Amino acid sequence: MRVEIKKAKRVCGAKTILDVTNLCLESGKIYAILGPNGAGKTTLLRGVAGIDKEIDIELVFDGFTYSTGVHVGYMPQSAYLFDTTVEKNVVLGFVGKSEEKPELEKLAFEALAKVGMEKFSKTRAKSLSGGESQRVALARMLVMRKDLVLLDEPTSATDVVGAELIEKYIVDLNKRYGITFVFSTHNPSQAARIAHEVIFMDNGRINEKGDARNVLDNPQNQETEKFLKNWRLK
Amino acid sequence: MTGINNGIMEALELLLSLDGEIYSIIGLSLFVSLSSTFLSTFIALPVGVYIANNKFKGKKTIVRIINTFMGLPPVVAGLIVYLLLTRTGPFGEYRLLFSINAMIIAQILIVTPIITGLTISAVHLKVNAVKDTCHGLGIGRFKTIILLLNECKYPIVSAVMAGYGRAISEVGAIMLVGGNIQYKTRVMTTAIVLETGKGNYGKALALGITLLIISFGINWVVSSIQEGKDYESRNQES
Repeated sequence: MRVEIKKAKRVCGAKTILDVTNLCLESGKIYAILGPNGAGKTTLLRGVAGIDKEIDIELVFDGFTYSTGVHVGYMPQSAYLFDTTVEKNVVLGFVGKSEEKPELEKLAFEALAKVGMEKFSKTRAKSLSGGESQRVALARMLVMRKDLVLLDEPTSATDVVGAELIEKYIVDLNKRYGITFVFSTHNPSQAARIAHEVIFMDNGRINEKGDARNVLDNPQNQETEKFLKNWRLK
Repeated sequence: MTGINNGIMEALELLLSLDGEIYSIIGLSLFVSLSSTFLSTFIALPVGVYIANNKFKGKKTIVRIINTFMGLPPVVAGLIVYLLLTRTGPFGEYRLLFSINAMIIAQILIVTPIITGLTISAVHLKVNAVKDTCHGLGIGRFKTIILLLNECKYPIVSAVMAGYGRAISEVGAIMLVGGNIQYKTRVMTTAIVLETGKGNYGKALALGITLLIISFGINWVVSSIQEGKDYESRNQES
């Protein structure tokens, strides 16, 4: 699904916290939104997802104009799991009839296996740690097979192994089903590993957008360069 | 101390001898409190969920008014209902004053803000996380509300129990609008006031003990539900 963000603007008092125009997201690509804290990454994702109603946004999905993202899946940064088993959390988005229960259980198990959480399928979700919850929330999001998936810092609470599994899962689904992914991150290495393109944001605006390797190796914008300097030193 | 000991002995005797008047008072107390709590919940729950779940102009003012009414003195509630139901009042023609219905109405006025306020607090804590998650998954509005209620069920149960606690222990309002009429509108709290005034400490204590036992029983049930849930979580985990 090709998505064009014609405009996305949010003003808070005298301050403009988001001002994005004509941002094109091509079908089947993985986009990483990089930028410092308060750059507007989450606000942009919430706007496209249609969650933040105070954002003045105009979206074009495959040529059709919508004011909110009706075809979009969104996973917030703080993963929220419902007070039931992990397995039921994963298939929560499906309207399940009783005869479909075994199929849904299988679907949940497979999705959980992708993020290394299959042994917890019968566990109460509330007993999981932050990182484990984030992995389950991602499995729950990805099992829905949305055309465009927005992930707000999907690995912020996970350990290295968890992050690796999540990245593999995203790449796998992107290759297999052509799902477009847009994820925000503070980690340029993660963007370099899985993103096709990088969007660099600062002060609510897009400073730079382009091929991931190009932006990360040869940033044209001063703010991007400044942000990436410390990463290169490591 | 002798007076108290004698009172306790007399109270136990009255309770064990299945004294008709005592048990009719207990029965009426339970009926009035349960009815008012049930009706209050019916009003407060949707209102509380709606307020917590939506942004609208004047929301803060409404919440502040509800919070103020959470501490409404029962005698004031009783006075309002009295003035509404008295012969010359706007609802005087229904002749509800000094009836069980009047007592229930007065208690609804006291209990509804409590359940509404506590429901708003309970739902407010979860509403954004639940709504964002459901929206992100493409879950519809109705299912989102059901999931939200399910997530808040324990604090909501506690809110209802707090309301019930207030209803069963309340005396000022039902005294005013019920009139404490023997075999008609006399409930435990009004009877305790009357019997203490008459020096019948045994009867007053018998009713006091019953009130305490009922409160203890309710707390026991609520705690058991919550402990049962924790136990279930631990079992699932291991």
